[in-house]
Amino acid sequence: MKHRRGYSSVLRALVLTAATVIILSPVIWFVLVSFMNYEAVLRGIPSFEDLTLGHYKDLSIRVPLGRILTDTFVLALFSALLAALLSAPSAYAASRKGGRLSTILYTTSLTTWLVPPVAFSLQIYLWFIRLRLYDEIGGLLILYTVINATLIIILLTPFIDRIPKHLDEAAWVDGLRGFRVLFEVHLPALGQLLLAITMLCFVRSWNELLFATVLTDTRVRTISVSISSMLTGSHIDWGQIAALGTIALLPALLAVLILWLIGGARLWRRGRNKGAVKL
Amino acid sequence: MPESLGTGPKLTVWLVALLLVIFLLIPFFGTAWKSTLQLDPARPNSYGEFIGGENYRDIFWNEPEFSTSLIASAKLVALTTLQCVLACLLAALFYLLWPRRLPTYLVLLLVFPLLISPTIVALMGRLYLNDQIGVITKFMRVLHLLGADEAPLGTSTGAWFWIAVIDAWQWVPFTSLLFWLCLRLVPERQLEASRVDGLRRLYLARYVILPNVVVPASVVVLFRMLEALRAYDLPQVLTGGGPGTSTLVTSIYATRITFTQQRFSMGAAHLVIIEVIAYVIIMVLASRVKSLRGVVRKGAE
Repeated sequence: MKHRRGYSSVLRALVLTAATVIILSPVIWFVLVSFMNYEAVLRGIPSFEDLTLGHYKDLSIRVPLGRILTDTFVLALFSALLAALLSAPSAYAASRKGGRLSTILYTTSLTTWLVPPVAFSLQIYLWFIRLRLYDEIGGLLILYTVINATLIIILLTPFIDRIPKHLDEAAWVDGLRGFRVLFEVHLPALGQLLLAITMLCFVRSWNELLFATVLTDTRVRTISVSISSMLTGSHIDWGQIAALGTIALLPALLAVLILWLIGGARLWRRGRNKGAVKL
Repeated sequence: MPESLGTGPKLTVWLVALLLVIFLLIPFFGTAWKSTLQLDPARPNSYGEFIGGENYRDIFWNEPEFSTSLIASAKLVALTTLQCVLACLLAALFYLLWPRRLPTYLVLLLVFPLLISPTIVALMGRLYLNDQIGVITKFMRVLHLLGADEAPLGTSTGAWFWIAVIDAWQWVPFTSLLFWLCLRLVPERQLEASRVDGLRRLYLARYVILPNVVVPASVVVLFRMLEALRAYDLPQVLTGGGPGTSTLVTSIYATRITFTQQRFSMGAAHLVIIEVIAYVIIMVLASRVKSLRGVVRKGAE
């Protein structure tokens, strides 16, 4: 028995190492390329003298970096927050009301989320031109909010299913109505989860390419569109592109960090609350 | 009683429902209507006329790239099914090593590739497969897998191979996590009982685990297939549909005829076809929504 345990812990370490190498090494090399001069990239083995911030400097001259980052950040942040505000009550309704409303709301969200977005693109493009939302940040903001709202409903509803109904009844007896039930009873229980999902929405809006390409021209530029347009020219400056790519990676890294903190907090709370109502 | 939501939340729910309907139903019918009109800028005299099914006939008979794009998308969907097999094996390995909970580090690691934008993943692919400075290219040349004048993405086979690899890098980790969650759906009591009965491992897998897992696992597979059908960023940035038209998946082809060439009605007909294919898969999926909710719920652990 003891022998087998030693065997499986070796295997565990092996799996973890393999996963780390396979998943992280391409990302690390990519980030390194953005800090290395071209000769070092060609040589393949970098040394400390090759490190440079030159690509970032050149990049900030070549593209309006400040505006790209502000546009993308504003879009991602507000579409995620608005979606969370709008869809948390909807997820609550989809979970609590049961019956037809729940099914309709959940299935519609699922369908909207799953249909290839390109299928909507033509009609939305024509609407946006008519409503003067084409190439405006507001247009993309509305669109991303709807897409994010569907994701939040899909992911949040199953978790609200798990919250015991007698909590609602207790809140009702205590005289809480409407939004206050949500804010004072459910939000404390779902807060971290909602944070994680909202962050996921933020990252997805930040990364979005298709609608950002189709629905913008020159006035709005998101980071994904900038990257993809930098790749089309005849001369491709890999250092600069890697620099922009590294900047675009930051939200994903931040998201992992936040998930890690949330995971840690959950473990800690679970240890402390043993025996309490399990959510 | 608590069943009623209160005015504030109710209004919000209606607003969301309305937004969803606007974004789901109206574009579908709008696009379907446009697909029956003549909106080709090359024929201004009859622009806007109702022509019925002519666009559909054109797309099937006069657009050779249409079938190419359908085949390309079908290939991508087939590739994701292969990925699912790989992910299943990985999930089984994880389950054998960590039957109760995965280390937080591993979970974060498995989620990480999916948080990276497909644009950047494709960008990394282009960097590593670049014919001059690509790390993988150099490595392949050292091993004589690639001639000095060849590029990894230069042939149709190469392009497909690397799309498969890069897509797998992004998706297999997370898919295996989902399959692991499916395995966790097996009720503890049944496992316990079979342990008491001294059931052999193979029987355990076949008669206890499989029946519990097959429905949620099929949801995961369907979900991946839909994801492959909508793929746009990776082939667009990595190969741009090329070389030639070998990786021209439907999303790229549709945006090309609709927005680049501005042939709205032809594009509309194409979009309707994509949407109908997606709806068929979604219909199968929606009938299993309950178990989807179950899988998502397990994610809380």
